[in-house]
Amino acid sequence: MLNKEQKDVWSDIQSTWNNSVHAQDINVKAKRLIDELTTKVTPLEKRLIKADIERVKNSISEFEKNSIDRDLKLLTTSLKKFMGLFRKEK
Amino acid sequence: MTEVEEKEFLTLIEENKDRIYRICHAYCIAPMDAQDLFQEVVVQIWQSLGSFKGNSHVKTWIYRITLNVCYRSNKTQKRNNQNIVPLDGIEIAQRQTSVTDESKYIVLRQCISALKELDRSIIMLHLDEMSYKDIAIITGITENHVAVKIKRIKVKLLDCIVSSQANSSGEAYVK
Repeated sequence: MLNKEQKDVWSDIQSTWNNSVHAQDINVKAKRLIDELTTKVTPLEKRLIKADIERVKNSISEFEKNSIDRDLKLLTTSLKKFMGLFRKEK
Repeated sequence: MTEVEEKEFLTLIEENKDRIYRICHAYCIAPMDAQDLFQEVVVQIWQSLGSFKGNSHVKTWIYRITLNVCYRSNKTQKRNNQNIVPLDGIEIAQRQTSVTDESKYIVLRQCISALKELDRSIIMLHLDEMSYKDIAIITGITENHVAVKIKRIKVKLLDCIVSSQANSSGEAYVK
């Protein structure tokens, strides 16, 4: 629980935070912004999607390689164990 | 995007620009400045508007996008910022503020920046007067957890501010 002094400080903090944005004048030029978003963002999106697909492709193949290696090792060890047991039983 | 959707988008930006900028400003680290982050958020909102289902409150949705952009920028800003789309349709100019307000804000911003990532988001949302329920939705933790965290973060933040004031001759929060 905050004491009286802390509560006062907190309300001061709150007003500092809320007033901070008044230090800026944000001017949105509607038509220009829409034009820019339409012309600039779509080509960028395409470029980013292409890069993402490339990255996913590369990481999948790396992941697949690793997982096949792991599976092969597991299979070999299990098979060896099984053969060992089989020989003993004979 | 249809004309109606474009109008909706512009209204959304106009109504939320202050709160978006506040968070961007608290998160920005050189070489990326608050304006770059703000533009990035605008681009993200533009790209995601079609997928907004309206299940959540629009304010909650905007905060989520803003925080995601800010998290991501903190992680990638050291590498590059080549994917930033420069937008001339947004102009941000500095206004003259009092030295007192400025120095108080600097201390507050430094102390918020010193918090852990999640704590930082929670306290900024709390300062923006979001409900515990909405903070829980945005951050993905339970409402009870939000309440507990806010109590702890407040104490941490107050400690930081008081000790920053003790170390400097700047304007004090405590009167």
